[in-house]
Amino acid sequence: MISALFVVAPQRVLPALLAGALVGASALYGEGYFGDASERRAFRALLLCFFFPVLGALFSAGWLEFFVFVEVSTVALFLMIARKRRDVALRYLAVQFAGASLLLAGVAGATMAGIPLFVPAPRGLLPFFILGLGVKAALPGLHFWLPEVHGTAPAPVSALLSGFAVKIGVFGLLAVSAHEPSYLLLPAGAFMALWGAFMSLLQQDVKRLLAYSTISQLGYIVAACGAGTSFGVAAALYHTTVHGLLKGMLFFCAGILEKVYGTKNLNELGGAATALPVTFALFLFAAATVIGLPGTPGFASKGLIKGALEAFPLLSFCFLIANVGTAASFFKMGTFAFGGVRKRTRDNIPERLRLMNAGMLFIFAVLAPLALFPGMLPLFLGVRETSFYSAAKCAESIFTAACGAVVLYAYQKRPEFGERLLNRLDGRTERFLRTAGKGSLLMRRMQSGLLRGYLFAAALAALVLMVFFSW
Amino acid sequence: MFFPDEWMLYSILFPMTAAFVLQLLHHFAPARTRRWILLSCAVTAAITFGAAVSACFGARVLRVGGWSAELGILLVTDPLSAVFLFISAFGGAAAVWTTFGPGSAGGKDGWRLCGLFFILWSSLNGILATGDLFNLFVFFEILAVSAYVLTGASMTREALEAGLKYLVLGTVGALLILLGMTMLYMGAGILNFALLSAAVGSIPRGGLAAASAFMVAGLGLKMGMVPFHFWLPDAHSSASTGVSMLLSGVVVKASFYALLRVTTLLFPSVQVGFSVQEILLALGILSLFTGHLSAQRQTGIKRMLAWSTVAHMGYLLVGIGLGSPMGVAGALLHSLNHAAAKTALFLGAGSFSTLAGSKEWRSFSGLGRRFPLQGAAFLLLAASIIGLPPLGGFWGKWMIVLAAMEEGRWMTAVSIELGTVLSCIYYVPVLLEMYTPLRGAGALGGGSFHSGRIFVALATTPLLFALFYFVPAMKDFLLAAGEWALTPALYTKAVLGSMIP
Repeated sequence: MISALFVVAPQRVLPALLAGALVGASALYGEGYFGDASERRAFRALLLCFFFPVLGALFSAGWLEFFVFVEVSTVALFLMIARKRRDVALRYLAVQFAGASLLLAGVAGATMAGIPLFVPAPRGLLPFFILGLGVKAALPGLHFWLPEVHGTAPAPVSALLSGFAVKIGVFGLLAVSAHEPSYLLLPAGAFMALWGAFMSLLQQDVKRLLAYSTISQLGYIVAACGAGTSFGVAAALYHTTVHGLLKGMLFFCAGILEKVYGTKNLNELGGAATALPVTFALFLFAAATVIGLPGTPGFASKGLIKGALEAFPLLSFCFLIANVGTAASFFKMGTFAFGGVRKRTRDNIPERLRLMNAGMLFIFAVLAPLALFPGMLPLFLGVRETSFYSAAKCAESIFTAACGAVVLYAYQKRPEFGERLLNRLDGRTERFLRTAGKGSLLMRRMQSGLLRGYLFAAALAALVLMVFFSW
Repeated sequence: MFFPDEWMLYSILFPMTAAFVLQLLHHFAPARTRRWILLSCAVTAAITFGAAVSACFGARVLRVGGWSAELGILLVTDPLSAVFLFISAFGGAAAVWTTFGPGSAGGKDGWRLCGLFFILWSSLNGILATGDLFNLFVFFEILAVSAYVLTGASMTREALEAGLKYLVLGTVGALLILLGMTMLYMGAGILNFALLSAAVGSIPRGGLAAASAFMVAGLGLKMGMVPFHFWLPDAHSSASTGVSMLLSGVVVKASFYALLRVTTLLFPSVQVGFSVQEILLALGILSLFTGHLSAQRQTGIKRMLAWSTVAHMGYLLVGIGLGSPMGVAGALLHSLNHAAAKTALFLGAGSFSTLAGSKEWRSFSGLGRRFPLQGAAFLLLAASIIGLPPLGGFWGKWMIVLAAMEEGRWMTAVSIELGTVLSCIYYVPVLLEMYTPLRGAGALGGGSFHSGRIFVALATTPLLFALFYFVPAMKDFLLAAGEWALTPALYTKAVLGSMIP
């Protein structure tokens, strides 16, 4: 029975390795991040509760097992977030299960038709899968939960969320997409990339900045999924791995800043470059990777994605612009948090800081080989790419980074320019759902407690039934 | 197979007799009453279980008094009633044990209620075993009277008011059932299910449609279908623990069984604007959303659980409304799960309320930590009822979702799972409050968890029922029961075939 339930293939092993690396790094980081011994114990236990279902989901052969394991891992994440912020955790759980509702319909259809993972789903079932998995993968319109949840969860949990949990959605999209370009996923990816990049530039809260940057990078991955070729799939998985690891690193960094300075607000942070040298060095590496400077694993993975999207020049242009935005927002994080006037630190416990830095170093150790041997992972996935470091690509990436610096400089002159409009647009979906939830009030009013009302309602309903039946 | 047909009859007669004999026995040996009550409970449960097992493999027919089908009363059990007889056996036993078991208050003065408990149990078995329409009505009336009195038995103002509302609305329901039954009798001249099912074609369409409307309304009211559900939250939340367990866990399921039997045997061909099944589907989805949305604002734990019952009855209606064996099988599995889980949840809620001193769930702060085993049991049961895979509660819903997608009704499928989302929203804060209270655990009076052992025993059911989906024999049994439900010809043949002298 085991062989019927689980399948091992390169495209599943890679995310599993990513999960393993992130869980290991989070465990190490969590030892330093959580001050209370019982918190540390709970975190370790919940990490295991998260890790094993995730492995089950990645290696499952059929959709039902995948669904069951993903639900269980969602519950584990919920418990991790609930230890800090109960209301946010509950909203996260509700949204994820709502997405699961749509996914379940698709899973039911696939189970009846006997379709396993990585076989394209029939057209009729595709909307359920895309919408259901899209909630996890933060497709536009379904992404409204991400900034709040990833921004307010504890740092190691945010690392897991941004680094891995959203990637399960992408993995599912890969498992269901057809081998032809998807004119839904491609524009969605481009939109996510642009939206995420520029919203992250506007943020004051460092973790929200990183959360929007996750949306942006997910856009790259979703578009690569949508390209429909096996090259696209390999590019998507490569960027998933790289982004997962480096987003973990960045959230760890944000957590260190939060613990040392006592705040997440970029306006109140500053001067950490001299106060936290190791963290700063690792941040530089991570930021360079996100921006995609030559020599980093991010350069290779973005190069692959751009290669996969060669057939769509308009989209490639959008991603170029998005890259500029990403560069700008990370220059912002760097200059605000690490540069500038040195702010007062709250308390600086060397022991714990060392453990937190160790977590970041763990991820660096995993990423460094990818920087040195960029061709290794694509080869594992069955794709051969030789010209990573062509002159054109290097020039392009350095140019976009420079543009990003210019954009940041211009933005700092007039910071309030897009802020109000874009922030208002983003909150709209969440507000709509909140008002929709007020429907329960009507129900409650009907249960008045008066027998007269009950009898009247029952009689009326019997009458209506009579009408329906004898129509 | 091993049990003779008479066990169906004994499952009705024994508790009825016990109800009266126990009152007499108390007169002669008051100190031993509790022991006698528990003994009767065990025997009734065993007989009902035996009747259920005997029915698992095929229909069993008993002609009471030897009269033939046209004149007399037949008792018929088949795989479909077997499922509900299991529920009756275990749910009834759990309720009686909670109220009269060792360590409960029921032993001293509350023993008087034992009569009503057993009469209720006997009428439940009667509904599940009967093969005759009027007999069904009679047992419903017996059930109703004992249920109304038991609801108000704790004699608080709330309970009396709830009992009165249940009485009035329940009588309206009985009136509707009687009306429907009368129209069927006027049209066909028979009251036996099997014969009526064969003769239903001779009833004029208008009359049949009207009769079906009345029956659905009446039985739906007994079951807590929206928009006839208004009595349910009041009654189930105001009753004492044992009574709530029985009402929410078993009584509504028996009413559901009656609805299932009547609609599939007598009204499968009613198709005017909409078929009966489509209407049940629509009402099921309405119940689902009403129940879950109304439960969200509740501060009292028992009221919340009562609204959750309304919602889960909606799932059952959706299951039968889909009209496929998989759908009915899903509804049956969900009945089993819900009966076990809701019975246990009411038991847990009652015990936690006593410990916390209040029925508000916000007062349960830290109880999960003080009673780790019972807290974990409550957690498991709540997770199962929410519908989290891989616990038992998920698999019933999964089968219903499969059936819905089979028919192409994707909105139904999505609604079923949305129920999981909506139930998370109100169950999870309770669980969180029990384990990680917002304002520190209150310094509450001591005391132990009442009926802890039954509670923990019932809490193994979420894991147990998950097996139903995976063990092929059990899954086939459920699908076979679904087939039985949807094919009136099988039932008719089984009953009338045994009529040949």
